[in-house]
Amino acid sequence: MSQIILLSSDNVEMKVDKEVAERSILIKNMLEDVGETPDQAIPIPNVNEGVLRKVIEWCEHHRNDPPPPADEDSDSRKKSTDIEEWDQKFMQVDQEMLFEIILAANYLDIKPLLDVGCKTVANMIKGKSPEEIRKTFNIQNDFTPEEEDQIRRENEWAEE
Amino acid sequence: MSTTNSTSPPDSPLQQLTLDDLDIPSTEAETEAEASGSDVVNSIESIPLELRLSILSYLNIKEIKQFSLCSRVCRIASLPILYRRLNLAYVYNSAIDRGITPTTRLDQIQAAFLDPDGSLHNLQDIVRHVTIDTENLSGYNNIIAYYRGWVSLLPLFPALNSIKIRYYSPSASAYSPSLYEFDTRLFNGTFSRLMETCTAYRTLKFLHVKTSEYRFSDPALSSRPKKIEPLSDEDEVFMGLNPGESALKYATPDTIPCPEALEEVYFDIDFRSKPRGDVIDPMLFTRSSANTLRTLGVWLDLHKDRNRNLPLFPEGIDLTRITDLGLCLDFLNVATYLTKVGTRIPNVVSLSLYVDQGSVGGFWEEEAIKAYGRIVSAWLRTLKRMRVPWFTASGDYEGEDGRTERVKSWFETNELSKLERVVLVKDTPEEWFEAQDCLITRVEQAREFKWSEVYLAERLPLDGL
Repeated sequence: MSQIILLSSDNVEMKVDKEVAERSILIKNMLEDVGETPDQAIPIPNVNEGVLRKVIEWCEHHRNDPPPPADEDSDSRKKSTDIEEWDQKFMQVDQEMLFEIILAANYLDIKPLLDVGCKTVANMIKGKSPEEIRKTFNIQNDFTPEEEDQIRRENEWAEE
Repeated sequence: MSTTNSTSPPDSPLQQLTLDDLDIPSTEAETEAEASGSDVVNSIESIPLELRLSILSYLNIKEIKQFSLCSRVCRIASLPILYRRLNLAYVYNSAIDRGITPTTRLDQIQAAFLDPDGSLHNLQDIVRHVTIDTENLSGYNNIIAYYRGWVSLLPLFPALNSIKIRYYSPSASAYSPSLYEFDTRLFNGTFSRLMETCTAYRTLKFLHVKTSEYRFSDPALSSRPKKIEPLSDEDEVFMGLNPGESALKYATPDTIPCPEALEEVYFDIDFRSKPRGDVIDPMLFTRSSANTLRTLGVWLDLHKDRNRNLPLFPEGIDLTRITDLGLCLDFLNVATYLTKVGTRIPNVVSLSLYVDQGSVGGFWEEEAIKAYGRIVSAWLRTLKRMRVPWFTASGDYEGEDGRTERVKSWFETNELSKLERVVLVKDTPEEWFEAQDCLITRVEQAREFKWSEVYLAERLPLDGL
């Protein structure tokens, strides 16, 4: 099994199976472009050691997953937020790490991981009032009470 | 490795994102931040807009509304999803429930979209659907005035492909002889106006019409003498009345302009107390869409007046391409009409049946149920999926009235027990289906009486079968 070396933004090298690293479409395409397994470390400039380790952990666990269905109905408003048990546990991290993982999955183009991250955040919003959502994500309310009233009224124009 | 910085168009927030669509966070900014020692704390507000949209794509509109109230950043991310589907009701029951003063007015909506500093400025392009709803309006003159107002708003939205029209239909004779054929006039006014003013009219794919009997809910009708308010000149023109004259000048039902590319059509129309001349065949609106129409949902409620001879499904309209059909079991309740449905719509692949709760009680004694069995079994040749109605919406299958036995024998007589793909509601017994490998899906939430909305929602699991 051939291995490659990834270099995190804080200059930590990590050895991973090529197959695992190729869960990242970004890395996969890059390796294809290069044509051979490189000896040098591949820099991942946007992802630090801690996050990169997490992402690799996810890729290890999902190394044998079948590729995701190509063309989902993007218009559908019926997307499930179900998350498999292992992924749920995996996502039990502090919020900063959660968003770091989402950013990394996005940057590295690991769509199934990005989906799990987005679902996790969506589940944190579900069923909550605006005040509860603000508290959960530490969002500063920058609306005046009048603006909030106006938004409530205008929200009625949107069909549920 | 190449990365492209491109901005994804705001009108496609639900598209799955590809790498090319995404802003790769600037590494310089991060390095700078690290160098200066300040923490870069990632949060739902700091991640790129596209990722916020991905998160929101997992939430329903109600949940997104809550999110949109949190902050400006949240609001901006929510707009392109929230306003894909507009509901332009005069007064919202939901708003009253939530303690919001319902003050939606045409000029406010117009200003929000059109004013340079309007809250929805430049978002006209994202609107795909509009519901026009005159719920809670009293007096036919108000209904017409508001309705005409909403119709005049539609040309604002060039990408519109779906319209739902919902109104409480005043029984014309209850108001005034000059408003006979209220429905015909309203549709003629609407479609004529759209054809003249709205580019989206040519590409309209989806039409949903729902009317409800109005007679009993309008205070203007219960007062004596009846309060008949005059129509404005513009409204008279809209309704095909010459201002100042009582002469009826309007298109006949079969000359009402109708869209040419409809794919899905739902009619849920209440004719209960209409005088005979007031009934319009809604199928007329599909006559120009023979090549595109695939899905039809229809319930025309005549209540107990079953012997009315209605000119429904006229021969000139080609319905042979329809493959998805939704019917409410009270559909006309007349065997002869059902036979007509069967011959005019012969290629049904997916059939969804609903039971009107109001009529389910005496239903099994009727000749009509036999007709339903016959018509469904006639479709078995083409039928691949069937939603079996919730026969016991007003009770359960354990009842002692023998209903279970009757339903069961109805299944057997008409060979429905041999169906291979069915959608069952709640407690409908699976044992009735004898077919080997019968694929059964269950829907839990059954609101048979709201069938035209439910049919829309349930099409997804049906398609999945």
